[in-house]
Amino acid sequence: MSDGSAPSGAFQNRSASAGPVSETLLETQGLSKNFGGVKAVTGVDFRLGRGELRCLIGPNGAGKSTFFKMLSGQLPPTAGTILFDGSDITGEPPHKIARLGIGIKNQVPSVWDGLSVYEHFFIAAHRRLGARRAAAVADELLMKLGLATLARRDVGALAHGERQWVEIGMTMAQDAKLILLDEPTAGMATDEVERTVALLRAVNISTSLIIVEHDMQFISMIAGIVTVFHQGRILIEDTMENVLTNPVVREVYLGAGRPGR
Amino acid sequence: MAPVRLSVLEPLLWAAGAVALAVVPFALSTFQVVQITVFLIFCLLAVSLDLSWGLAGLLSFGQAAFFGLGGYAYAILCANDETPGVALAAGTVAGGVAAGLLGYIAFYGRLSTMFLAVTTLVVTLILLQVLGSTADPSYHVGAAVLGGYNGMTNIPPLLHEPTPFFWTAGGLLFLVIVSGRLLMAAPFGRILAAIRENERRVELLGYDVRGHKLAIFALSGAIAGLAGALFASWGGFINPEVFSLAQSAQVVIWVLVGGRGSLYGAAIGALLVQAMTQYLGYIGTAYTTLVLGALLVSFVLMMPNGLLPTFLRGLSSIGIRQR
Amino acid sequence: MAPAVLAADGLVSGYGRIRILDSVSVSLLAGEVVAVIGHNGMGKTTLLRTLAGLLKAKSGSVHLAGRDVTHHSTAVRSRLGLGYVPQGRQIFPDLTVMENLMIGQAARAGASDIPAMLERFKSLTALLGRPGRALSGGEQQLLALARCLVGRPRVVLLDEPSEGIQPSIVDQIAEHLHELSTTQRLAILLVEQDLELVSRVAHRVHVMRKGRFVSEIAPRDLANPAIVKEFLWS
Repeated sequence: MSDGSAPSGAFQNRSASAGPVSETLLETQGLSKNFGGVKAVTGVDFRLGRGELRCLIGPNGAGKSTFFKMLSGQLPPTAGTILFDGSDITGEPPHKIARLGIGIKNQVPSVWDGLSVYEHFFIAAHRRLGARRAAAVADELLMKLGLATLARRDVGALAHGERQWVEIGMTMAQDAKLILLDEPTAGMATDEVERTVALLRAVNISTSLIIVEHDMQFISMIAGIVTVFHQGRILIEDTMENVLTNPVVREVYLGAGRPGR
Repeated sequence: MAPVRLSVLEPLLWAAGAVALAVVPFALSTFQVVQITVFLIFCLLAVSLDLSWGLAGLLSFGQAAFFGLGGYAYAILCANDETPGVALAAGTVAGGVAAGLLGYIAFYGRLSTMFLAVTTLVVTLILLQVLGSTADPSYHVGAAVLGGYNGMTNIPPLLHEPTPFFWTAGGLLFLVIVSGRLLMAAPFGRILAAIRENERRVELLGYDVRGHKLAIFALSGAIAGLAGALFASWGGFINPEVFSLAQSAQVVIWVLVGGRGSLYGAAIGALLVQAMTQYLGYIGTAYTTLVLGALLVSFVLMMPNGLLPTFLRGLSSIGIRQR
Repeated sequence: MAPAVLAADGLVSGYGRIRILDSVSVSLLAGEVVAVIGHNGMGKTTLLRTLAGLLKAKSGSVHLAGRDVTHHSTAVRSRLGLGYVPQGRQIFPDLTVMENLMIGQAARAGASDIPAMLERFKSLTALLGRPGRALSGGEQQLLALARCLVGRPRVVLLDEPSEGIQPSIVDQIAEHLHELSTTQRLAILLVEQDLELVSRVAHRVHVMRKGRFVSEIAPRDLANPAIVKEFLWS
């Protein structure tokens, strides 16, 4: 079993096909999070270009969700800084970060069981729009996500995967500059995954995305550059093909070369 | 435990309620009208808690505090020769300001919901102590002597005739319930419901939830203060009893029995429990508290969601729809 | 022929007045792995919850090794050999790995299966003192499975065990399931979205739509996208 830890952040093996370096939207410097004695994230230097769609993969417990929680303000970093769209958002409260333009879909669907699907989208849109326009956005999202028949249903009564859709829809209603999606296709069947890919591609036209996923087929359909987390650090950042053939990645994460669903 | 949604039938319910309030005094004796008036005042107090607890998930044992402060404010102003109408408004403001202060410390100081419940209870008991120790005549506000545990008496009523006062109390209850229901269905109300269900999720959308919580908490305090002022007017007296543990718990019990989240449930719970207490006292049983306690325990065991939600669920299971 | 380890007949259930399961029948023999696949909201989790007794069936019956358990509580069904690993793992976050396993053991008389379980799930051995919430998702999934197996069930209901789990651990789960069904003769009812996992372990695959089983697919056909498209996603 190799150590697997590599110097964090250095954008290694960046292939030419990744395209020109675009303006930076998000940047972290030396970002770390400790829980008591457990080092969940250590010294992460991460950079995302405006308009990029980045996938984040890695073993369970590698620190991906903790990283997301720090970006969205749900957890204060132990060390390091986060720069978003020119401002330092390190340690800012969640509602301020959301207003600056970051939306997040958490790993475990974080929704309101007693409220309807429609109300979820309405409330998400209402933060920046008046009631009438928020209602229009909500109706449009119901159509786009194929949830129109469930519009008045309480989200607590929905299936697990449907709750994921609702939370994804809320991030879309926010009109964010950056959306963090933590395992958006968990609990989805193959064709639902395909619909999600199409949806997220459309969202990516106006919004940057960082997506944590374990579904290799999903990632191969959608990703440009893939960042691999391992033991709280960035192991490697490269194109999908290079990542899949990397021996360390195969050992700690992929296992016996399964291509995913 | 989701709040009952605003249905198409509701305006009909309101119309029926308004008519009932208008007509009922003519079918009752003066004594009964006076009796029911205080029940209506307690309903108002219960509804104030439901707005804070049932809607926004903020459990407060402090409604009795705001109630009492409202009553004292009314008494003090009246004793200083203010018109009762102004004194009533002052009672409302007193409740609102007190709740606003307490809410500010709780929500902007990031106290947990558990802390809010305990803190509001402690504040109520502190008021009990403080006002109970004002026996010496040197404790006065202007011409109003606070009177320690004996409190203040001879408080002038808002209206001298029982029936107009009944209509006033009933009318205010009606107004509060209708506005409350409309508030619950409006975006602000839905956001509060979302805060109750998952506050973090609301924050992640960019809402500053502290302000929302403060607003509804202050509103519920103001309504409790209004109820307190009406109470002082009704009975002509106010004393520190209103700040007792029993009174604080009473409000929570009303809402528990009737069911959280619909406003109607809170009113029904207050009516039922108080009427029951009254009846038990009337038939002269020596064990009023025991019987009441047993009733409440069986209630919690058999109908944990409260009376109204259980009743409505029963209706829907036999086919009567509820939107 | 031996009686089915688990047999459900004409199950109807749902929440309140919303009917989700619309007359579902399924049976498992010892050592059989049956998979149920389908879209969200089609009733897969509801089926497992109804079989486990967490949801009351409105009509239909459930038999465990020949005994009618339709009106029995979850606890009774569990003691009769029904194991259930719900979606999202649901291990006890404040208890250590060891304590989680001990609870799985507690309801059953007889010698402790925990040493044998740790032999099987070697990665848990190093984590025995760790509280549940400090485990990664993959470790939690393995713990949930181990905890269920410690109770020596005869049939196990698994709800999306691969969800959110890294590929190498999904491999491990597939191997465990395969081994359990062949050598231990454990019957497994598996709800899954990961068709590759299903094709590796399942003997039979049912497609569920709108609360009913609408078709059956041969596990090897799951690798064929054309068949998948036609039978599942039309």
